[in-house]
Amino acid sequence: MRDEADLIRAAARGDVEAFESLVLRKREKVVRTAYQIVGDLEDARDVAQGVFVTLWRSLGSYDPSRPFDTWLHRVTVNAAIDHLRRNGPRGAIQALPDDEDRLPAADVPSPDRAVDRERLQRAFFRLAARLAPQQRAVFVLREIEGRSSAEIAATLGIAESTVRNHLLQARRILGEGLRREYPGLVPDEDPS
Amino acid sequence: MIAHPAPPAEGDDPEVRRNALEHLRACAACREGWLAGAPERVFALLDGAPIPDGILDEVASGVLEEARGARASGMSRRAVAWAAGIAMAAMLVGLGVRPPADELARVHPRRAPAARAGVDLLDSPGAGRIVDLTVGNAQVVMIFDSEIEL
Repeated sequence: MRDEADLIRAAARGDVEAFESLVLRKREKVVRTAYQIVGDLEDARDVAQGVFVTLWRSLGSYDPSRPFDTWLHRVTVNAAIDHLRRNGPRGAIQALPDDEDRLPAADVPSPDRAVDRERLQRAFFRLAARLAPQQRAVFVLREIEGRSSAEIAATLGIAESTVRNHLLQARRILGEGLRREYPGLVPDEDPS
Repeated sequence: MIAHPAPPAEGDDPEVRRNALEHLRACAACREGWLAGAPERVFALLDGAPIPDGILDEVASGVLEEARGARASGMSRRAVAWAAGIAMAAMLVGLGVRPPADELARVHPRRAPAARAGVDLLDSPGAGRIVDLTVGNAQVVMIFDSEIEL
């Protein structure tokens, strides 16, 4: 298997096969990040395609002394935010709480069961549609991807204090929404 | 005995974080403690959500089609430029449009010496090919370089 730096150099010279290998290696991460920010798989696909086309056109000017994944991640996040600003969130329209989510916490069957990721995803898209695009991106990068505030600030080109503000707001909005609309997904805060 | 790893924290190594989240997805007791007072943390469990193969295939096919198309059109533009340059040079030479070398040397003794009159194909390390064409009092230098964006 070819080394990644070698693939990047070859792709920058116009080698389509090397570029294809890069796309196959990176596409899942790119789509996943875009998906959480834009809230729709087909939109995420479009964002990812745009990111890779940009990559193909600009690899010639890529500075190999900078980490490639960081650069690609930055392009992806900013493309997803732009998409969200232009088109608005989709999750609010698509995902409605299902009947199970509306049950009071005490009625939810067995607390020992594993988290249902699909249900959680629907809840996130519905509630995150209430966040501003940059707030949403900050939450996704911090809470879902586990990135540091400094890294997020660099990715978005904003101050760390702004990252912390966005995170505070996003946590408040999502926390309230969960308690009110999806009590089955969170523990009962007053067991008495 | 089941191990209960510490919940994820900022600055965790990605592998440590992945293991902690994997445990929280399955262990309701740990999850409950972790979410107490901060229910929005539950969305961290979406990390690593699978993406359908169909979408990933569409991403790759769309992008590669674009890349191959861009390369093909770039190559055809270069081919057209080459063909036009060579045809023009051949036509002018064929028509005998070639000034007396000594006359050209008299008008531009330094820039167009007698030895450079007519059409020369020159090698150059920086460019793909250079065509040096002298017609009448004019000197035309055509540079063909695959790196130049037209």
